[in-house]
Amino acid sequence: MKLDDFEAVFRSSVKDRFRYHEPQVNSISLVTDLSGNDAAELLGKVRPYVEGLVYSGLDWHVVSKDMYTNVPELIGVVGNLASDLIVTYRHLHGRIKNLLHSLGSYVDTLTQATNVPVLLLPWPEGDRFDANLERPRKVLVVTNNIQGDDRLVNWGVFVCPDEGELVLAHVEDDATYNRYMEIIGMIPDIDTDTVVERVRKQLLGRPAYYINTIAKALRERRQERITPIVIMGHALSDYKRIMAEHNIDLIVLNTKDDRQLAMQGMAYAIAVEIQSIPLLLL
Amino acid sequence: MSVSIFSLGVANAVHAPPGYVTDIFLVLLVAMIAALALEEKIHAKKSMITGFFAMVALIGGEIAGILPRGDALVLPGTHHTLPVYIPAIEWGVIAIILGSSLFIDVVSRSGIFSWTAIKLTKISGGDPRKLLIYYCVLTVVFSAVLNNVTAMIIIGSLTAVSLAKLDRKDLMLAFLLTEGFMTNIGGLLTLISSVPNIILGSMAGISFVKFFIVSAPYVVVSTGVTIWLATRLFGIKGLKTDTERAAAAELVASFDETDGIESRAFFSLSWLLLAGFILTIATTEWLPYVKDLGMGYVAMSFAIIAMLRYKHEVDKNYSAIDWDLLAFFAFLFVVINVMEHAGVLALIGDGIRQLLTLGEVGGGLSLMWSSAAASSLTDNVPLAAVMGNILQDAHPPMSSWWFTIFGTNLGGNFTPIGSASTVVAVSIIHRNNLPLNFRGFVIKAIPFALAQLLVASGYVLLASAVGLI
Repeated sequence: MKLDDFEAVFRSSVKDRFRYHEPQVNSISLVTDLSGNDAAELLGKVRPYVEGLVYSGLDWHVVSKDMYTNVPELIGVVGNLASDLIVTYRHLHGRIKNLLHSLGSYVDTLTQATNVPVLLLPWPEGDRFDANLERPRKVLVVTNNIQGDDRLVNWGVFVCPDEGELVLAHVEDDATYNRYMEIIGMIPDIDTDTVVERVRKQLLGRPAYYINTIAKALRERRQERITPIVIMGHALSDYKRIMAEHNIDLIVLNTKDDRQLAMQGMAYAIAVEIQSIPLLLL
Repeated sequence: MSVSIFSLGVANAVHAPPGYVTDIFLVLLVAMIAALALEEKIHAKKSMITGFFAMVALIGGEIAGILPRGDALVLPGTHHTLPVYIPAIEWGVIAIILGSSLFIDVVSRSGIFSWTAIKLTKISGGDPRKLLIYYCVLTVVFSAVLNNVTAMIIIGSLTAVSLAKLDRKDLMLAFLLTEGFMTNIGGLLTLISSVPNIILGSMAGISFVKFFIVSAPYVVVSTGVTIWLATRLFGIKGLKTDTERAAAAELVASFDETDGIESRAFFSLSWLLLAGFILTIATTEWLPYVKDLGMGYVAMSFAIIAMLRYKHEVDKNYSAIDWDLLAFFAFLFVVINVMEHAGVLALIGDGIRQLLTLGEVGGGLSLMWSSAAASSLTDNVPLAAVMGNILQDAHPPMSSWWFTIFGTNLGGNFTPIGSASTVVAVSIIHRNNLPLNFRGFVIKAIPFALAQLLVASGYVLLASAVGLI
């Protein structure tokens, strides 16, 4: 074996291991486009649901309609409150309430301009708003790169009840994979069959190993059932399928990464398309 | 193993060549050694260099009429001739190198070496001083069991990955250099740990067990001295606080030693095969029938047994062989054979004999230090081949053989081109964008090489005095 071979072996042997760390939530901001009694009534509905997810007895701040008139002002108010979690809902300040392909400019900006997790609830005036605010039993964590993402998983664990089920879904985009393999197949110096087999094995093996470390780390602390799903597929359609198959009540996903602050790509598509279930956007 | 590197030439020697012919071939030999020393500069592989000089030497030898002719192999009722360059090659050495390379390649794929290296990394808890000690000891063991190049590749690549993981890239240069120096110590442990050992040890008639008994104490002492020097000169310290230790342990815990193991059964089998290989090699000289076939047969046999695991894709094992190295040895044997006939080795031998007239101690020490100086600048394999042939003719005391063995192995630590394993160490250093030029290497290497040679000088004298040699 040559230098490259052993370097590859040792690089491959370094694997991310999950470290359990409970997120700290001391105060919560409810951002609404209501005011007065309407805002108080909404808080009355939302508070038990959120406190069921995290803790009870937290500091709550209601950012009502009269505290801001535009998006920058909202960002300023939220920033000053420095809460650990923002709770809001779809179509905040939206004129068209059944807008299918947008979250609305307020929510869009809120998720982009702050590093605080945003719990995005369905539209309050929707038919199943109250039903969707029942205590979740099945939480889905979705990503296309779960390995090493302790923050995402810890939030998923945090909001999943002890008796519930935590579904950890890692979906590698098969379209991207196939495209690269197709290109590799055009390069004569590369053993295509080996690359196709090995790359696939690494892409799926490493997330599976990481999820295994999650199960080990949680075994002695928590009781929830962990369901790992590591597959290649088309992210959005597979997430929808997983949601349906597991009767998911809450989805946890990243909306930012190191390269971008804006919620783009698959996270945005999920947030827009999956409207009936609360989303925790990190 | 039988040693007949130059036997055909001696048996069928023609008349002594004229002085000017010897001079011309001497120039050719010096040119080849210079080209090997400048291998990196002239962008030519070793086999191309020796191949070119073998081609020129053979045709030159034919023109000069110095090469032997005649039947090489005669069976009753048959008449066969072989071109001079066929018996000129020591096929036993080639078989050992080819067989052990194939065998090691196959068992490497089981993950036993990476498993061992990662396991030790985790046991160290990420403490730099412990890591250095473990890696150095492992380098010595791997150099002895495998070969020094493979040892450097395994430990060097792990060093790069583990120190990066520990965020201690500042220590990477020190670690890689020290490991490079350790390979040449480990290369002294057994008769088959390095090619100079195979050539010189076999020509001197030293058995595998005898070689190990004599060299092992030196290897232990020199390993300790080198590690101590490295910790002092490179400032490698252990972790001081519990917090540091906990953080480092957490980082090394992320290594999964089982990652490279594809089959548990083959992993276990490989341990057995490796133990069997070492045991059989060590006892070859006593095994009926096998002793006549030699260590090359043993190495090739174990390679074939190991390759049964991959019998449907052995071409992958063949592609992992360093064919450049094998061709280099083959061509080198041809060049040395022609030099023998041209009287070049006898000429050099006259100079060496002058050293031997200094007595057992003075002559031996001169041999060791001059061998070390020569092997620091060029490949130690041609040096070993030339020296072995000369010593065989000179019938010196046994200590002279040992001085030469130690000198040819340890001289490689003076420069980055002194041995194949230090070349690998430097290439890993450069792959990791660490600054180190020729001069920088020599400055850092001198204390280590001098210390190792001084210890070797005292050790061989002591071993000789107490009758161990």
